[in-house]
Amino acid sequence: MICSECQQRLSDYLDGHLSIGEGVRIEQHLMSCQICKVVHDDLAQIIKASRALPLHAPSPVLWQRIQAQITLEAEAKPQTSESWWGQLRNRQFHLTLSFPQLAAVAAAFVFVIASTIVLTQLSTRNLSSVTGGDPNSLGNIGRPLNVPVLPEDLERQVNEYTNLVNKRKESWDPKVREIFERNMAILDMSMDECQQQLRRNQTDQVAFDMLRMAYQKKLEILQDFAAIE
Amino acid sequence: MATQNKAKGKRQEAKGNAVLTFSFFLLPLSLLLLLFCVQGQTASPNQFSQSFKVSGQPHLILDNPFGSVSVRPWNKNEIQVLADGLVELIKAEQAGDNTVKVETRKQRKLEIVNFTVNVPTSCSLNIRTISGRVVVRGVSGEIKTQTVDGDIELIYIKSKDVDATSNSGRVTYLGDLVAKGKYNFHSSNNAVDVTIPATASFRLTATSLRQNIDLGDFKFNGSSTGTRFTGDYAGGEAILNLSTHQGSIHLHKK
Amino acid sequence: MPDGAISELIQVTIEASNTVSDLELAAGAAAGDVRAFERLYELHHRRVYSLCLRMLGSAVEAEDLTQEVFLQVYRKIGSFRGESAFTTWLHRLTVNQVLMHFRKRGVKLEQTTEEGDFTNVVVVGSERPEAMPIVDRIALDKAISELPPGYRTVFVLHDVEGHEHEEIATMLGCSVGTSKSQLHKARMKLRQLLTKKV
Repeated sequence: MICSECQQRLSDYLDGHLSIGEGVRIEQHLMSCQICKVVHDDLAQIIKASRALPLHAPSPVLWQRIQAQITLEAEAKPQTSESWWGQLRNRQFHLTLSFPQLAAVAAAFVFVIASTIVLTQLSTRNLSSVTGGDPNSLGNIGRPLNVPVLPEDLERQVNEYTNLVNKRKESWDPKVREIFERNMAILDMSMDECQQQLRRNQTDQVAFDMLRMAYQKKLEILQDFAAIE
Repeated sequence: MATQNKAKGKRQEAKGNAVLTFSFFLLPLSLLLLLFCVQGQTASPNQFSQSFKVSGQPHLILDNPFGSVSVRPWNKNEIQVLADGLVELIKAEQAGDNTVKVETRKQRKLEIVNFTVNVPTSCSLNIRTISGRVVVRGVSGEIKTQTVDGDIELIYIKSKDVDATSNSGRVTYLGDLVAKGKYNFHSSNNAVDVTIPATASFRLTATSLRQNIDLGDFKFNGSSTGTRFTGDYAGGEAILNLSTHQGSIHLHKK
Repeated sequence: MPDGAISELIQVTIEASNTVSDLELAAGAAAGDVRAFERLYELHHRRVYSLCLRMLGSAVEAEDLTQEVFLQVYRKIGSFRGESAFTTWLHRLTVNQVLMHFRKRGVKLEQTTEEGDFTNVVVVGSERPEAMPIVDRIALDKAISELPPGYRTVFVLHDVEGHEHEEIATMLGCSVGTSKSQLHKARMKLRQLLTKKV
């Protein structure tokens, strides 16, 4: 066995992933090759040390930040006793069906799903394509068919980056913070105006295009500022 | 009397000698001082200069959060990057034969770095700043430039593909519209000001939420909803999109 | 009873009692008891933070992600039924958050090699290679943070956190062979980094 072959296999050897025959060949090579023995010992040391690495602690204020966010979310959530849906969810069900019964249920399920898909496709075939909106998406159920919808992912990303940047901006230079806040305010104003126009006329394509553009711009700017170290 | 005059003469001679001796040492000192000052001006520690030889279709990618970027064409097959400011933040490297990437590290503190870049005329550009003016002159490669807070000026451009957007900066374009070219100019909150030849042929879509659209002397074959105008001019060969949320749109004939 | 068996029994008992109390705490937190949630945080935040820190290599990002993990725990605690140990559930949630964070940042986990990086084979020469110094934990942590993201992720998941290659392959969407290969390269790279620090 040559050294390169041995060293390529050392991790698998140390983790016990080699066959007995391969393991023996490695051992024999290690007995006669000082170089590979040194590498083997070093890797073994790294593996052992990695398993005993200490835990690190974040700053003490982290819990306060989490607590503040939880308090906000708890206040925003309506206080209700467990709904029937919650009770249903928590209840445990035990099903005892024979195999033919199970097969019949599965077949019926597949039939229902397939029919739904076919019928939905037929009814949405005549929809005009809408910028940024999927006529078949859940967001469109209940809306008039030609009302455009923002991509969910875009809004979610904007919210996530906003949270991230808001946490970080306190440590920025005040001038940097001012630039950020001023430009965010501009985009928020644009979005408000677009949304007002859309409330007046849900099918206003221009307002929708500009709203989508504002979201996109906001995301790009948030990503730029999120990269500030 | 003669002795007194002799003594006086000797004193004067001594004085003269002293002055000469003093000057003898003073002059080189002055020269040294002058040299130091001159050297001090030309060897500033806050300047950056790096050149990259390029071939084929050159491409510059430059990301500078705070500070201006000025791009000029020249007739060498080189991209020369010059900068001043906190130049330790700059990273410039060549990727392949024809791409140069320049990046200024983003920091919490506002550190300004101003760039001047000389590029071959056909160079394509991708430039981003957060708060910094971008000026590009005389380039014919594709241009994509974005700022958050800086004005964008594209002057004497003859490119086939231009995309310039700013959130609160003014966007100005003075250049051609090449047949089958695509041109996109946007400012969320400031003016979009475009000057093109009277002989241009383009399809225009101009969108302003506040209905602030001034089409200058151009007479279109088109329609308007108030917030959006769409129309063809002289055959509609290039695509020109102008948009703003709260700003204004101005179209001029060169 | 041999000493080793006694200490193992003690360890199992401790873990068992923690498991029971984690389940009780989770139930309390799900019912809105903030003190129960705070206790869960006290018991587990260091492990979550350490995992994030080692995977991301940045204390600031690790704190942000730790916060996000615990907010997710708060939101989803009602769905924890005790089918697995709470630590397992929490660990999976943490790893998912880290991988999502990488995806959002566009970090390509396959960026493992640097140009000119030949860490796979020790140069065979007439001289004996230097053995690594005894590994101290601070040096090892620093070296881990210097690994490229792809190597670091597999190394932390396997050697530090104890996941098997099959699990890692599922998490990262790669093959078991890739996971093994990246682990070996990570270990060899760490060896190189730790040897240089002499």
